[in-house]
Amino acid sequence: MTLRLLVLGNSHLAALSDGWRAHPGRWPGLSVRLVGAHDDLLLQTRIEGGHLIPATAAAAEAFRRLGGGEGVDLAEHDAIAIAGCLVGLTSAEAIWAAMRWPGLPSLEREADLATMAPVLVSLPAARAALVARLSQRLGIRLARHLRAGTDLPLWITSQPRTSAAALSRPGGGARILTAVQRAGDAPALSALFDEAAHLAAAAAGAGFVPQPAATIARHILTAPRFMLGANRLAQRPDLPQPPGDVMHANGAWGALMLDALADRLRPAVPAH
Amino acid sequence: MSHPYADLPPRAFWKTAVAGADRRRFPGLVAPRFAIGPATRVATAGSCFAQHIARALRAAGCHVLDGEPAPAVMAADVAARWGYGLYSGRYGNIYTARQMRQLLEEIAQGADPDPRLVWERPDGRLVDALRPTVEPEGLGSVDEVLLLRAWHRERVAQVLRRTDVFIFTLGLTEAWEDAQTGRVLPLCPGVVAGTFDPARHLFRNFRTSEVLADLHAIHAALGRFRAGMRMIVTVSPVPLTATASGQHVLTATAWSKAVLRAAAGEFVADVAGADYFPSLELVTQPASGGPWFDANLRTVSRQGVERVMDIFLAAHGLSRLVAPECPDPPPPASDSPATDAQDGDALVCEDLLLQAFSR
Repeated sequence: MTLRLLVLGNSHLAALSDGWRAHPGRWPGLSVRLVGAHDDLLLQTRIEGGHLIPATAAAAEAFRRLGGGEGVDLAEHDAIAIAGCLVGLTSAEAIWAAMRWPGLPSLEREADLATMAPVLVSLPAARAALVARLSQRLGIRLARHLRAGTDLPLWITSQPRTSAAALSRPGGGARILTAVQRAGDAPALSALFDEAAHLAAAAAGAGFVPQPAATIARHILTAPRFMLGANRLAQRPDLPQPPGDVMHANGAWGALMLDALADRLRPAVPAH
Repeated sequence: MSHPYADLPPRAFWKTAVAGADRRRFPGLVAPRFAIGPATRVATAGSCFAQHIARALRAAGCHVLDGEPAPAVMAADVAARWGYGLYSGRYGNIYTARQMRQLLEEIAQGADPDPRLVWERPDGRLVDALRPTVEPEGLGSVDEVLLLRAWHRERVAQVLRRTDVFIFTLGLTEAWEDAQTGRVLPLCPGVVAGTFDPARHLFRNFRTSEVLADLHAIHAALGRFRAGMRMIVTVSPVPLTATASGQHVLTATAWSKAVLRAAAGEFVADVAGADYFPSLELVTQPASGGPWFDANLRTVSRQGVERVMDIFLAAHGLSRLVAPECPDPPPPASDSPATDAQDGDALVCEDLLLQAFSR
C-alpha cells in the first residue's frame, strides 16, 4: 500500500526534493512526485479532465523542465502538498511592523501608548489582517485554484523562516526580525503566524504544516544548519543557491518537513 | 400696501422653491453658514447614515480626519469589519445626542475606562458596551477591552483638537441607559452581548428639550477641544428598525424624527457656529421626489444617498451635480419586502441587529 503524494512548489520545492533524494527508504509506503515552477507559473494552469495542465507557454516550459511533463494526472495521487510559495513568516513581519496588540511583551513595556508609532489593535484584528495578507500569497491562491478542481486532500507547507545568519549580516534584510527579537515579541509573532496560516489554509480548503520545530531558531528564524548548502529549483540537481542566500532551506530541512507531512498524511489519506 | 412677504426671495415660496423648482438641484435649499473646502479639517460622527457623509467628503477630496486609521497593511475588508474608516474615530455608530455628549465628556474627563461597561457575549468573549460591534470576534479580557478603549479615547481627543468642522448625524431618540453608570448605550444589552437587566437598563426616549440640551453640551465640549470648532447637524432619514416605546414603529419613527428635527432647528437658530443640512427632508419629503428608499422601505437607496450628498457637496462648491437627470425611481416593493441584508450599499448599523427579533 503506497500513499502517493504530489508536491507542487516554487523555489522552496528544492529543499523537499533534496531531502527526498538524500533519504531513500526513510518514508516506507510513501511515493512522492515533485513538480516545480518559479514565480506564479503554477497558477497559470487549469484542471481539465482530472489533469493539472499548464495554461500558458511559460507554465508549459516550466512543467517540462521541472517534473510536470505535459501535465499531471491527479487521479494518480492520493494527496497534494504545496511547498513554500510565500506562505511564510515574512507576512507576519509586515503585520508587526505596522501594529501592536495586547499580550505582546513590547506593549507591556511601552511607556506611552499614545505616541507609539505602530497602531494599537486587538489580537483578533492583527490575526485577521495576517490571514487576509496570507490569503493573497501564492500558496493560498494555488490551494484555492486546486480546490476548485479536485477533492484530494491538500496541504500547504510553511516556507522556511529567514536564516538566523541574516541577523549578523549587514543589509541582510532582517531589520524587522532584529527589532522583533529585541522587543521580545518573537514567540508571540511566531505563534500568530502559525495560527493565521492554519486559518488561511483552512479557508482555502487545505491544511497547514508548520515549520518543523527542530529547524527553528529563536522562534522566528531558521537555524543556519538547515539553510547551509541549499540548492536552487532547477532541472540540474545540486545547483547551489548563491552565497549569502538566507531564504532557502536545505535537504535536511526538507527531510524534516517530509516527516511532518507524512505524519499528517497517513492518518488522513487512504493509501493505494 | 406693504407686508413682510412682499420682498421675500423665491426660496421662501413653495411655488417657486419647490413646485416649480429644479428639484434635482433644489437651488437655495442649502445656504451654508460657513464653507467646507478641501483644506477644512472635518470630523464626522453619528448614526449609520453618517457613514455616507464621510465617504462622500473623502471622495470629493475633503480632508476628513481619522484618528484611528487602519494599519496600512490591513486589507480593506478586514478594516471595514473592524470598524476602521467609518468615521473620524473608531467609535462605531453614535445614534443619540446623549451618547455623543457622554463620549465627549468621558474623553475630556479622562477617568479610567469603566469595567462595568464591558459586556460578555454568548461565546464568552468580551466587548466594549459603548461600541459593541467594532471587535467582531470580541476580546479575551476586561483589561484588553479597557486598554483599547483608553487608546480609542486618546486618538479621538487628538482628532478633536485639530477639527475645524464637526458633522454630527442625529439618528434616534430611543436608547437604553445603564443606571449604574449613567451611560447611554448604542445597543440594547442582550442583543449581541451583555445581559439585559430591567432594573439596571432603563428605556429612554429623549424629548426635544433633552436633545437640544445635549446638542448645546456637545457644542460646548467641542469648543473646549478646539476653540471655534463649527458644527453641522443633520438628521438621518433612516426609520427606526424597532421601537421599544410601545407605539407603532411608524408613528415612533415620525415622533423621533420630528423631535430630532425640531431640536436641530432650535440649536442652529441659537448657535451662529452651527448649521443644519436637510438630509431628512431630501429623502422623506414627498416634494423631494423619490421614493428614495430601498424595497425594505427603510434603507436609503444608492440613488437617494448620491442625490443627498451631491446637494451637500454642491452647496459647498466641492462638486457639481453630474447626473443628467433624476435617476429612475426604484421598482415598487414586492409582496415580500427585501431584508436589510439584501441592501447593496452595506453600512455598518448595529440597530439592524434588532431586525432578527421581529416575528
